[in-house]
Amino acid sequence: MMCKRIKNALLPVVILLILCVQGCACPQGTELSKRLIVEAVGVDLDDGAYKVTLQALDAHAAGQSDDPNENGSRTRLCSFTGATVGEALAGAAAETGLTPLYSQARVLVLGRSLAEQDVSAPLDFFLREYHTRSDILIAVADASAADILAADPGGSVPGAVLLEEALLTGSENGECCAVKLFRFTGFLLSETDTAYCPVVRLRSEDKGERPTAAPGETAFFQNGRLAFTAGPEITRGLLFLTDAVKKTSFTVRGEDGAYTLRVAKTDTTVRARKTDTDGAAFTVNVTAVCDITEFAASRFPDLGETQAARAQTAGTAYLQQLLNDAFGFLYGEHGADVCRLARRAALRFPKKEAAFREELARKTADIRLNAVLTVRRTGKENLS
Amino acid sequence: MTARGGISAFQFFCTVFVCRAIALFTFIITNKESFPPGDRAVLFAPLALVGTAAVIPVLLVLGKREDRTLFALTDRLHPAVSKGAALLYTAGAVWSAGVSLTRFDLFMSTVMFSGAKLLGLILLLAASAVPVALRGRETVARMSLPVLALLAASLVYVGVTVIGEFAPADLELPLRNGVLPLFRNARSAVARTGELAALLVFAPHIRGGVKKGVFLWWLSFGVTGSLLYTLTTGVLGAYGERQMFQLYALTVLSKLGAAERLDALICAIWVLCSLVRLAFHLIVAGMFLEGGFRVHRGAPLYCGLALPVLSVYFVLSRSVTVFARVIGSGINDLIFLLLLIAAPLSVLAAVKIKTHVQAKKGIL
Repeated sequence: MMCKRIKNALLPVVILLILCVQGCACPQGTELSKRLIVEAVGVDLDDGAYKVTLQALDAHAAGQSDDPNENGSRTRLCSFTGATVGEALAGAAAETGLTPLYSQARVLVLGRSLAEQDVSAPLDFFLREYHTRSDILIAVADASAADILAADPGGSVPGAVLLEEALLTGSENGECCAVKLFRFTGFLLSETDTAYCPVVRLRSEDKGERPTAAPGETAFFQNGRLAFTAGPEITRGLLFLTDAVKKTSFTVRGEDGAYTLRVAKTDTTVRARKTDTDGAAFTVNVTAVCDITEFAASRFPDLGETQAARAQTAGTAYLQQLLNDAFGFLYGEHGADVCRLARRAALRFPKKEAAFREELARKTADIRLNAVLTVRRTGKENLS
Repeated sequence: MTARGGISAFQFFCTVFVCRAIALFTFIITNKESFPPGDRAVLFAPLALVGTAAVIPVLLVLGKREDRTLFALTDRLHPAVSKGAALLYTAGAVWSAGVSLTRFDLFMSTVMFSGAKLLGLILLLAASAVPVALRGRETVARMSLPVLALLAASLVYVGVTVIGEFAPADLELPLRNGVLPLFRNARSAVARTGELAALLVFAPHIRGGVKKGVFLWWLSFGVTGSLLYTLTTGVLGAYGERQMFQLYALTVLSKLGAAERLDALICAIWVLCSLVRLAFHLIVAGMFLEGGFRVHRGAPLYCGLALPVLSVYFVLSRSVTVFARVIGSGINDLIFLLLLIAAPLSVLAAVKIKTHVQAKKGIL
């Protein structure tokens, strides 16, 4: 009786285990040593064909504790050419003798010359193919994607991991943007949104060290191709406008000295509304809560309520200027709708969608940017 | 009349929920125009109304005490009618099981193991469903509860981890193309829910209110679907609209610290859902055959039923195009119309006429 009960209970468990293992593990399992573990993918345009460069983990070198390969790196670089990205990558297994594993890829870098053409065709592979992940970061190389992927500082961490980390922390700190592939392609597919992603460049080293890839400007795409780039201040403004900044610091000058303000919390709301004459109007409110981390003035003066209020005023003015400059450059000069105003108008006033879109295109819409900055903490010292 | 017992109404509807959930996850939206993203958020309302209305003929068969089977009526007409009904409903269950296997194969071979032939996994799934079905409806109903709990936990987890990516600007207003596409999609979703025909043989074995459960089931299934699709639209935006398996595309984004391939684990839960669904269909087919032909529901019967299920799978799983063409031909609508509306109403009408005629003869 007991034996039958145990058998009854065990049978479903065994079946479930077999199915789980068979279902989520690989039925056609490939050993790790036979895998080309791709860390980053670069796509360049080379004589009308796509040159795809893979930065992959060198399984043998990665297994060594202190002795990487002859290049002093734990990664290897492979390049393949084809009429399409898929055709180029089809040769990867034959040339390397390893089965590529793209699901670990962290960054997709597009060469500058390719970005200036239509990026839709090469991106279709990443949109359709399930081997790659939709949440990898995308960037544009300031020259060749292959050069960016070739930059590997050596050591135990692959260059792609460092680049991913640089992009993510840079974005949080308001120094560069970090855009995931699904978001980028979503913007490209949209009729009204503007797609953007960071530009990565090689950081030259004077001390004979290996060059490393680092994020810098931001690239903006219109009609599927790179239209213009923007520098760090515009990028910082863009991050505030798109509510992407998490923690950044900036210094403002008050009457008594210089205040360094660290952003603790930000929130951006965009609201579509109508003018009195039924015209398109939008309000972009950016609120930032900051901590004063430094009050640089002579002879350690006390930080009182007056000074804190001055820091707040100066900070608000800085933020307002930052937003005005970024929005003026992006929308005023280039017509880039980074705040997704057209989509918000379509949601709020569906019947006026076409009229609002036209007003946005003609740049006659009433757009107000409001910055509000409040000081939350004043560091170790109490308010005097 | 069979003594009531077996499973509770909650367990029955949980089992049907698991069966429908796996179909929802592996559902392919052909294009944005046919199923506007804005409409997905409010689909639950017409779904609950249309779904409940469509099941009324089945509920009429169950009678006031909700414990009558279809065969209790067909036997009053003629034994041949019972046999015909048994064959019809068995064919429906076999078709549904074959379609679910095909969906599962298309999903796994597209997403998880791109390009791989998964015949081994499919055969294993079918072979596993037979012993599970042999354990009986109570076992499948009990098994569906932890599977549903796992599924719910995984969905909550996915929701919590991707909510940071939610962009309200990506949403769309409902009813942009009018109310017709909304009801067309509700009808289409209802037509894919042939599982409720199981009530025609399950009813005497279910404790609790079936009628109330039907409406609540449709509502909860509709709300779950609407929430998931709204989350998908808000997180993935236009990118999601280009994805064949939108809900899977959402799970790809969920991460737990260094564990980045949680979608693979979530897919393991979906494998379990497929097992429950397949076993449920085998049991339903077996119960119909038992009711019509008085056959014993044993291993030979279930093994015999697994063969036509695999045949349907082999025919449909050749490519997405073949599958889409067959499913798009309106066959689901036809099956639903036949099994859940036309057949029960015809039987009810025939029984009523026969009773009337007999009563008249008795008076004469």
